[in-house]
Amino acid sequence: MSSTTFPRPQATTRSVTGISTGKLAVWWIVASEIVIFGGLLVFYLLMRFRHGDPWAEAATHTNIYIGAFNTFVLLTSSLFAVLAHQAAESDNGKKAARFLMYTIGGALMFLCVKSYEWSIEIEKGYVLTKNVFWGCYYLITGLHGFHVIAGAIIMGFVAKDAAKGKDLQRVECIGIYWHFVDIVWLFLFPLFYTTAAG
Amino acid sequence: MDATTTATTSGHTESHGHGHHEESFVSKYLLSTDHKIIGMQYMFTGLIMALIGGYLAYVFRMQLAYPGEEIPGYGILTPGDYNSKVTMHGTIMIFWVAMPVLIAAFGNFLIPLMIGCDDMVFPRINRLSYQIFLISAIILVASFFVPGGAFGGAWTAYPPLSATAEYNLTPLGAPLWLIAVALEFVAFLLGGINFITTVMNSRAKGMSMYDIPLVVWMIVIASILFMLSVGPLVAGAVLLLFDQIGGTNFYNPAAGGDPLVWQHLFWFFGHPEVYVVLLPAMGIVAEVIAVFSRKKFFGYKLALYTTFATGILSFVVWAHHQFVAGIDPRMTNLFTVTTLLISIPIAELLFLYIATLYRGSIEFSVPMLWALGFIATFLIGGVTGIYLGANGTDIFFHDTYFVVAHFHYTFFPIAIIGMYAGLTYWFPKMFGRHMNQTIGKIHFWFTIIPFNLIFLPQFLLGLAGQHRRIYDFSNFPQLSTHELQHLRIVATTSLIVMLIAQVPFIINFFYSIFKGRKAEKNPWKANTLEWTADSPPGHGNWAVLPDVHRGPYEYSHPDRDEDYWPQDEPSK
Amino acid sequence: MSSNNDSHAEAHHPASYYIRIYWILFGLLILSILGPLNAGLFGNFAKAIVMITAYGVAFVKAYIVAAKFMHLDIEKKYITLLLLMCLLAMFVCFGALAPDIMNPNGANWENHNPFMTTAPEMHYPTK
Repeated sequence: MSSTTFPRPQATTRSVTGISTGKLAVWWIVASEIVIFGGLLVFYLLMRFRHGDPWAEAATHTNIYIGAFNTFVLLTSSLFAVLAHQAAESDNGKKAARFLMYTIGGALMFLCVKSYEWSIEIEKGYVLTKNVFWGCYYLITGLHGFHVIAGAIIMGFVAKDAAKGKDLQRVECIGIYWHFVDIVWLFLFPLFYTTAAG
Repeated sequence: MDATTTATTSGHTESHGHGHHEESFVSKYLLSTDHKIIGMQYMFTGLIMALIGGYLAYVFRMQLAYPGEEIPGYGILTPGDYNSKVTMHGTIMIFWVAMPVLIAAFGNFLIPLMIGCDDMVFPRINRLSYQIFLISAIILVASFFVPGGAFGGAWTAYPPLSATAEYNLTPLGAPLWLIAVALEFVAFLLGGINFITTVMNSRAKGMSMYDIPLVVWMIVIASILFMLSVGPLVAGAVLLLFDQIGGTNFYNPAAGGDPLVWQHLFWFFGHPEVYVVLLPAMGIVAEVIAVFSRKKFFGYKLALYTTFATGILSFVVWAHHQFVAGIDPRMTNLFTVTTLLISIPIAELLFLYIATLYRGSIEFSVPMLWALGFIATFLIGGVTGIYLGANGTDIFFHDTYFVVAHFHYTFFPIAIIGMYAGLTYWFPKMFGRHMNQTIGKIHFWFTIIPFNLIFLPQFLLGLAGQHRRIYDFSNFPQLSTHELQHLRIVATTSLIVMLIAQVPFIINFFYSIFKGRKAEKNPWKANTLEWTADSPPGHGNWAVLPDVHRGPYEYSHPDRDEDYWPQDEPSK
Repeated sequence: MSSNNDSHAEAHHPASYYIRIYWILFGLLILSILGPLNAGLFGNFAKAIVMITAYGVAFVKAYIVAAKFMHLDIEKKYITLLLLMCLLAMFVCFGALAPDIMNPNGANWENHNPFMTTAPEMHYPTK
């Protein structure tokens, strides 16, 4: 994504609403993602209430400690994202890039832990096709993980530019997306991990 | 965009712009980030898919009119193949014709021009959205050629039929169909973000919310509706894909799933979707009617607020598609009320069109003929929807040809009549030349009359009890009478006439691109900003971006000599 | 170029502000783990404790991240309105589907295989 040679149209620089164009676009992206994850979670909740006890029993086999650790990792990465935004606000591109790299590091740790978690569960026989609970588990957390990967990749590009002092306004935009991914996980955590333990 | 005329698929005769570099064909037409080129790319892809969709309709209608006989230009149609044909006809027409032409093509071409800026705010994402769309189209067409053929589970893809290859007989076509649809959704999400952000942020100086032309508002609201409604279907589609190829059981009631969930998730999107395609068509018709009545659009703000109301209401009517699916009957009462309610704002919009026409100086140009044709036919479509929206009558009408006739009396005006209205109206701006008006008028009449002859009989067939998606009615004695078969033959014959009538249009279209009479900037004497740019506009649209001083519909203003008042002309 | 066209939407907080919020979120995370794990200690209130410490905390944390990290508290109000509308649509979706989906049995039939640990053997009709 070399933006050095691409001539930006005047349209990109206008702002009738007072919100920068990139940020406005990210809010619309977040809005559409709410309904995507919302649809999946509506399905999950309906199934959960439908099936009651057998579902709750199936849910006890997720590992609350791994889930909690991952929640902690994402939370910390969100902190780094907002600190990156703060640095970008002070026009400190190198610092912003550094914090973004920490965020990406958090993402990588999240993905590694998740892969390890999945491998344990698959080994125990809790596979995608075992029952509807496990199907939901892999698909929903998998789709969330896909969003983590996509976010981390885009964040990498933003960090590369930010380190050179270019397009620092994008740090906030990717940060907003990242916080959204974090918020989704904040709801996946109780749904898949903790309320089954009780 | 600077180039000399070349015989290309999207050949333009351009006015010479800032000629600092000669671009190759590939970088100018295939990899362009210019919104006008991307709009053309969507347009041509959509038109090609329309030909495929029309051919599919020809094939299965021949089967219905002459069951079991060999179809010229196809061969024998087997029952499984029949299902595949009707599935792909519906899918292609909605997702690969109506949406790309009405939203992506017109939206991309018109929005920057009508709000006075030089391109979309994210030109490279714009290009990416077309590329993803093209890939989705290729995957869909490729599914025709895989073993088993294209998906045969109906465009609504209800499980267990759609989830189980043993039932739908298209083990490869089914997941390919899903992937193509999912990619198409991604393309339109990306495009929608471009449209919404551009209109919100990049308007010309002086263009308030109420100075935006109605067609732009409609496309933006349609994009918002799409973005907010497609999520649950994306969710449901992922679940369906894994049921198809992953061995999961999300929709299998024997293993803990529920097939009704798919229906709800599908229609939660499916109903706003029909408004997603309706609104741009209504916007195009609004523009054409105002210009060719030389009259201010009656009730601009009313139209706007009505459209907002329609958009919001469209999210709470979806289960009228499921009245007889076994849903809770109390829900059917609720959805009957909301469905009947939503007919009111749409009817109001039609009344606003008529009020705009009233006492106007009407010019029966080709675009105006199409716009009037839209009103007449969509009216029938909307009114027949009332019967379907009431849960009581729907018990008898659901899944009959009454429904087919109803949605063709709405979709055809939307996708085909609206498209032709827009194409014939903006052709001079897009290509810098005029289309032949005589051929245009002949094309109009030979399209609209056969259209009515195809679908009016289908209301009668539906009333007689003929069900949808049935390959051969000879097993149903009451449906195999001579009279009913005669109606089917009338419909099929009219379809063939209508398809042949599109040939003069195609010839007119391509001939006029290269050899049509040259068009000046504002041949229709319209107010909106796109008519102040060159025909066709160069790269960046204007050398100096315009400012706006008034609304878009100041026609026949008493203080003026001329009967139009362009938006960018300064007030004295 | 750094933030253009933004009308004072950026609050200039020191890093310590965000780190303080982080520790609040961390504390809530601990609460949301300990609560469900030890809910049994509360006898009849076990379910309520789980609800509050798992979901109540989730909503509170989500609000904090949205308001303070995403700066929604100082963003233009219609953005928050847009996002709330999306959430509302999801509640509408849930409410309309619930009568059909939450009950595995119909008015005149019962589903005897509600939740299986492996999919049943399917018998498809042969031609």
